[in-house]
Amino acid sequence: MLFSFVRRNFRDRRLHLIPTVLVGVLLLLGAGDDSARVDRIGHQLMCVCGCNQVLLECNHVGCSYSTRMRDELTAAVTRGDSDNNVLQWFIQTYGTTVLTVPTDHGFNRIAWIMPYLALVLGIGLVVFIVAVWKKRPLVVHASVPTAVRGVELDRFRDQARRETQL
Amino acid sequence: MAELGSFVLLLALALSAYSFLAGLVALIRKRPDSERLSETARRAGIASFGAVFVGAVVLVTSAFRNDFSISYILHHSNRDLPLPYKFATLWSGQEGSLLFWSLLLSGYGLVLRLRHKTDVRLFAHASVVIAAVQVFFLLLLNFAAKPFAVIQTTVPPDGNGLNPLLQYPEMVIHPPMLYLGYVGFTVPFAFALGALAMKYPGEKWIHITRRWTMVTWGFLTCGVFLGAHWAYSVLGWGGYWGWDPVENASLMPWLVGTAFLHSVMMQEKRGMLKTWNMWLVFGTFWLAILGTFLTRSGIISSVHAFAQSSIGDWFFWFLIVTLATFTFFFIKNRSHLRSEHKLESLISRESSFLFNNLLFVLACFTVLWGTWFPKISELAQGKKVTVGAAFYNKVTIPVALLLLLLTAVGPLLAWRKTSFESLRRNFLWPSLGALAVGIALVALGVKPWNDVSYFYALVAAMLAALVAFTVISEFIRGGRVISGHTGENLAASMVRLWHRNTRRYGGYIVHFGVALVFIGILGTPFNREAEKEMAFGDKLALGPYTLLCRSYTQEENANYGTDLAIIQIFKGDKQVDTLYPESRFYTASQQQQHVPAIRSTLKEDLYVVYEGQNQDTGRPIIKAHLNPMVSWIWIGLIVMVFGTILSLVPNAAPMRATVRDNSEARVPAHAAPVGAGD
Repeated sequence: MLFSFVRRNFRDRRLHLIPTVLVGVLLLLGAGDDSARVDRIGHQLMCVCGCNQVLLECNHVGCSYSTRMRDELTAAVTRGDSDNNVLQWFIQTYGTTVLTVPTDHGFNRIAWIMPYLALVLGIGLVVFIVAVWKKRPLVVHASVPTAVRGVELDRFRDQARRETQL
Repeated sequence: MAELGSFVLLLALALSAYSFLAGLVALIRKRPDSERLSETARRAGIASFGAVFVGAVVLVTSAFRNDFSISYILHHSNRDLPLPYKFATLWSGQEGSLLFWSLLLSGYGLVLRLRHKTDVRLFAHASVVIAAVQVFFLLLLNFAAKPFAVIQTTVPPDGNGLNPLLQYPEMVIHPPMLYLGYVGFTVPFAFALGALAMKYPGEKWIHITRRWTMVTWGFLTCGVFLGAHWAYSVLGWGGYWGWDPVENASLMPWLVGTAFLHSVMMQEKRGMLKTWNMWLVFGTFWLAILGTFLTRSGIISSVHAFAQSSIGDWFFWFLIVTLATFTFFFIKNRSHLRSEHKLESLISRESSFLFNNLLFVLACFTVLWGTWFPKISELAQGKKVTVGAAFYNKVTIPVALLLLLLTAVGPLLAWRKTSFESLRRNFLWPSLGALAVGIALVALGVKPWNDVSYFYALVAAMLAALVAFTVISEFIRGGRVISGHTGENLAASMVRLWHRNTRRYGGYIVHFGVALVFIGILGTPFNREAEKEMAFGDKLALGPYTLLCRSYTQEENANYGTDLAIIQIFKGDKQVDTLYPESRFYTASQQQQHVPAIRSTLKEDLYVVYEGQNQDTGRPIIKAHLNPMVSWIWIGLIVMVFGTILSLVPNAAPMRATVRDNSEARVPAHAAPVGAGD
């Protein structure tokens, strides 16, 4: 009797604990998520002290910016601001140089397009050059074949050595 | 001392100016006495080395004597600076490094002028070009960046000291290597411009230039990698390459110089790409100067702020003048640069060189574009942007992987045309080996579908393996053939193989080194880090390691005071190491600097930084990075340098076949032409 009362009471208490544990777990999950977001966004931002380092990698001794900026980032993420809003806030506060890379819209898109465009154009150019050079006529002197000897033979041997693998 | 230094620099300027003007007049004027005038110009050039050398000795001596009446010594040295860094004062600041540049250039000029009998007229042209460049640097040293300027106030009892970032053993060798590379590219440029100006017949100039370029390229490679190692060991952010504009400035001439080293073979073997090679030589030299312009002008922000000054304008105009001069001679004499051969197949060594050059130049363009884009953006839209590592990683990795593929494939393609049978024979086993490496990595847990960086790492690993296997298979294949003829063992046969064609097989070893470097780099996506405020006895777990904070202590010497953390490193229950990350405070410069402690193994680096104390809690902060495979980058560098040295060794005398009168060739058993060609 006593045993069953204790057991029932304990089970009830466990039942009462479930929402508390769930909230705790969710909070912990949320905390983990926030920390991942801070890490992700923090690697998209530069420290503006002039050390030219990513915000979360700034180890500049006595840096007067990075600690404050990290706190601002953590606060914004904890508030639940979206990634875009957080980044926009940093741009408005510290200027466009706060982003580690150019954005992919407007004029800045050129920064991203140009290397790939150069690659495509370059490959096209090389293929074109190969095609043109393949069609280039080779000057052939018409002559009666004769045995090659002496210096000329040495020259041919040298050329063969240079132009062959084996 | 300062007066002597100033005098010899003025003397060096006069001698270089004479060498340039007299040499130029002797080349233009075709009179009988021109030869004598040219000889006086050559001797003046040689003498200028003596004058600059004395200037450099005076500056170093002043550093050792703590002569703080010289402004440069006051700002870059102090009484308690260790002796090696006092010697390194020569290149620690702007004026000194320009003097060092001038010393190296006059040294290269000395060697060139002493070897003038190789080809008197070509060397006379090259000597004039070198003298012109030397005049520019000596003008800077005499009028814009004087290393012997004397302070006008009372001489302070001690100097301001050397920048803490520069007080690291590699500081004694990294800048000289880099400068030997930068300055050395003046020599190929001088030969190229000389050959262009005189319409040099034949390809002899390119043979001469190639050897100079290889030496210079070796120095620049060392300089670039030592810079990366310095950044890794000193800056304390856990990485070795931050795509800083000044790092980029050293990479750009290296990329174009590497392109030239490959494409020059097209000109040597097939008489092709003459115009292209001219521009590559010029581009390499020009980019080396551009790098100095970037470093010195402050036009682009960089962590190398210690090098900034107002002499950027001088470099800007020098760049313009050199470009104009080269363009003038190119337009004037371009008819001399026609190709002699046609291309026969897309699958040939020639095509692979074309694509190789495209990728190197494209990589250089991408780096240049990223470096200048902040400035372009400022001009176009009135606001600056940052172009950081994420940009470069995204746009350069595909190009780097394509280059790695070509590194594996290119050397095994034949000149003119390659048959599919030959392709199959050469690539079957290396390809299967690379595939096996890929499968093994996936089995070990690398999941390329999880993240694009893992995908790149997997592809890079497979391509690096392909390069390594093709190099090994080439050595074994050639070694076996020689072994079959001579009866020597395989190792001895491979040494003989290399000696028959040192450039080719030395080049293969360089390629092998490149593969190792890539193996080191591909660990980057798997880097991990952890940070914790650690009191005595606190633990920090990172990967297989546990860091146990044992103690904190302080030490002091005349140069700096330091806070040391004593961190015991455990792997499982076993202690494997003790690391001592430091935070130093340099007395003379009143600057603080972290000095990371690194436990390096072939598998990974444990990189521990003492980041100072939390301002709120006062507790020490320890940050640890676990960087896989980094050691392979430095091992790769050693292999690359070894390969470069091997490729500079002269070939063994070529074996000759004897031809009978009845035209039947009798080839001696040992005369198999294995290893010929490049």
